[in-house]
Amino acid sequence: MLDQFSTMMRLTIIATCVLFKVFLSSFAFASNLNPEKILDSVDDLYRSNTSYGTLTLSVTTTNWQRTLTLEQWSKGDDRHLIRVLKPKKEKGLTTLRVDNNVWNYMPKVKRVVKIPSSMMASSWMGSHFTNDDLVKQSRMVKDYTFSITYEGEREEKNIVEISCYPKKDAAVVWGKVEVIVYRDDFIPLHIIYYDEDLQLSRTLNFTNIQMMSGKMMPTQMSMIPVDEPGESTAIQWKKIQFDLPINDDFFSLRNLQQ
Amino acid sequence: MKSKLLMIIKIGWLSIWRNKRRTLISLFSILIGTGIPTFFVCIAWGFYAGLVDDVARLMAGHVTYEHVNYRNSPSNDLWVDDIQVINKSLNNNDEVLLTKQIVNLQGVAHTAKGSVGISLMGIEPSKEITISYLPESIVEGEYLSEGDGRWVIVGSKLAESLNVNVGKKFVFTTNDIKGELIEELFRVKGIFKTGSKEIDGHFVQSDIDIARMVAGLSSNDVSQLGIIVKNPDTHERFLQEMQKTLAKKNGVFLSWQQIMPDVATTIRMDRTAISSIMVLLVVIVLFTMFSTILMSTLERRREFASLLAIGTQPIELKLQIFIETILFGLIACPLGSLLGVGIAKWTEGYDMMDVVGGKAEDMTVGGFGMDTIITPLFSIPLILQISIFFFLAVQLLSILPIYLISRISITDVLRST
Amino acid sequence: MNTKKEIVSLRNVIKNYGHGKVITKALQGIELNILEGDFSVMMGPSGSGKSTLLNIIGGLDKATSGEVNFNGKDFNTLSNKALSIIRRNHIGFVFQNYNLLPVLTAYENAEYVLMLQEIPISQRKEKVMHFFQEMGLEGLEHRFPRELSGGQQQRVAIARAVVSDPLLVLADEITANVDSETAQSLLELMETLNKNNKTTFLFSTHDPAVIKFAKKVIVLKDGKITNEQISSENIEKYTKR
Repeated sequence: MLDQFSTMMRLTIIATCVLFKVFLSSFAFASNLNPEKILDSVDDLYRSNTSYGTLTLSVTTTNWQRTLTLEQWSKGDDRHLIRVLKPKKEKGLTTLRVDNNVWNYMPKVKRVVKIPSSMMASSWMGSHFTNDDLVKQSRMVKDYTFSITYEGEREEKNIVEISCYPKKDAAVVWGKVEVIVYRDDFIPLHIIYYDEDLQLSRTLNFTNIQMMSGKMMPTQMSMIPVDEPGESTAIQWKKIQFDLPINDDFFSLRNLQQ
Repeated sequence: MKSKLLMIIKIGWLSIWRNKRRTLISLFSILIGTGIPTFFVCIAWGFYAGLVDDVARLMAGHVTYEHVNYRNSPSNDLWVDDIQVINKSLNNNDEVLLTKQIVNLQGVAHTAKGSVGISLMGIEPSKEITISYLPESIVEGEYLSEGDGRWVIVGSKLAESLNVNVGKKFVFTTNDIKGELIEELFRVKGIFKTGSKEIDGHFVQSDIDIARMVAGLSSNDVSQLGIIVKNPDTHERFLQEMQKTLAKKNGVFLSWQQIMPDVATTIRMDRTAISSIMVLLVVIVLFTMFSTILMSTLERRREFASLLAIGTQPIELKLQIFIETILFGLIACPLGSLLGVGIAKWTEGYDMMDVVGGKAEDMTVGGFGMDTIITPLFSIPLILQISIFFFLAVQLLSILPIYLISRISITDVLRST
Repeated sequence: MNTKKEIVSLRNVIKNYGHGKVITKALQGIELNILEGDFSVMMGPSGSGKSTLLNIIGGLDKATSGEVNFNGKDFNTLSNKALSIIRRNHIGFVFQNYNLLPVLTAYENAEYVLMLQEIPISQRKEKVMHFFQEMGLEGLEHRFPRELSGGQQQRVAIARAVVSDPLLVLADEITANVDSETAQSLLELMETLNKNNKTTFLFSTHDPAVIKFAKKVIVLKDGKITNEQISSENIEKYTKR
């Protein structure tokens, strides 16, 4: 009970500070940085006209840990195909996303299953991402009002912190999202999600920045939920290529089953 | 002939009172045997009637009009032609109390805390206030009113699992009528508590306009038209009439039993269970009665033999024994019914939970919470049915004694002293 | 002297009980006539067949063979129902244990058979009251049997038996449960009834006192009627219980 209270106190203090910062930001950080541009660049980090890559997905829960090796194709904002390469047990398991629709192909039973809206909030392949996270194509700038709330040194890194508050009717569960990027190249460091009461909900960390296919990008991304201590999902890009010629037909149900 | 019958009735009547204690015990057991089932049935049937009416008013009415295929897959793109024409003519029908236009959306509600599958029902708040118990079940915030937009009411359990309070938001994911994934933001205007896990945990109500907007329906379309009738007992006949006269090709009128088969099945099973217990009780009571009646007959064998000797016809003697059990039944069965009705009347208004203990939340039928305030249903045909059933059962008891008397040997019985 | 009407006539009546090897011969060729106005007493030791004979005459039991004629009707050919109706209309029974209906008053007990016969209420009342007067039962009409002495109960039983003017009254050991004084008065009463109303009585008894009133004594021995005369020497043999 005391613990809970002190946590609440701390969070209240943090929230107050954050609000204070927001208030101050409009005065204090009259810099020449454009937050909209930064957010777009974060949104576009892994997006391009087309992309192809391989990655590993490591899910750690309190009960088990497993790693999948995946192969992925994308075109624009709305076409995605992801196929499991390893482990052998799940090889061939494929997820196709076109616009708002998600299908799973299960090679064992040779069947395609459309993910209904009721399943959108369910975990994608047992990870801490939901099917909805995959589908989500809205851009930060559309759903949030935002401002730069910090600019400068933090943990020996020169960063910019952008606080985003969802617009009144935006279909967003968060109360606030903080996007923290390197000041130099806008490569993201953290995206921190708060719930409506401005309590920390989950953190997305970006690490291991490397040059890939001519683009500097963090090759590792890990999702840490707050209310499940010790759990996380990590994505590690092994290889990524951009702007390859891929037909729209590639993202079809027919291809899904191959 | 008449005076002879009167004499036989008189002898029968007087004979039952020869052993007052035994007779009182017998009468008491018939009284209990009729009274307890009557009491239970009045209470239980009262609960069911109340439950059905509540649920019908909360959900899609006693009778529902919907697309013929809506039962198989309650999809948002199944709406019925000319619904407003049908609605108008239903509202002009004398048997109809009210119609409610409903848009149902199945989907998932999520917040940063988590996700829960929900059923969102878009209704007309001003009508809902007059018919449904949901507005009275609001424990925090307020009930809906017209034009509330994204403000909705949610159940207490749902609020808990989504970690929302009045004024807080959640995102609702569903499919529109084209099958497209839709995400919409809603805010909690009020939180209700009905005592039912299903309703409190997975039910959300909104103004019908926002539900139509989310689903992509036009301002005339509905998923269902719920019809609240003035007399729920005749809803089946009403339904048949409406199906014949009003239904369009792609629409069908359904009863609440078809809309909520879980509730109907549970009530049916519950009724069967209660009836079985009652029959068991009846058998036990009859068994004690039987020994009494048999005893009282057998100990009068000598008397019967002498009556036969002096010229009483066997049929007259059998009639006498039969009349004795008829009199038993005639005295005790109506009194038993009165007793049952009386106790039921006496318990009216009490909260059953105070009597039996336990939590109101545990009292659900087919996922719907029951009103635990006792409101007995005094259905005269039903009460008569129990009384007559018991009366006839008691009459069966005279078969063996009558048979034994018919086999009596006058000379043997008279000789033995 | 006019020939009296023959009410009962038995010809070679045999009654056997049991089956196969163990057969009890209760009656062995009884020849008997009972005439209107008779006041006959049947005597004999226990097991001599008195009760059996009484039951056969009363239509309660059927003879194994022989002819049983009651008022011109052959009992052997009648159904149980027909016998029951004959008993109701023409035979009165008086039992050792009175066998009154405990739930009915003295008056109602006497009225019972008249009710069965569906006699109108005014006639019923007249008849019952007539006999109650004659038998000294006035004032006891509304008493229940349990409120009457043994003798009074037996009087009510006699009233019940005679009230419907039967052709024959069968009285089985009617003095066995009352003291000798009461027995005496009961017998006097019946003698009066016999004289005044010409009621025919057939007694079966062990009681030597009854014999004094008998106009005719029938002695039964081993299922046969004997010609043995009852005298002070042998009377004990017939009155032993």
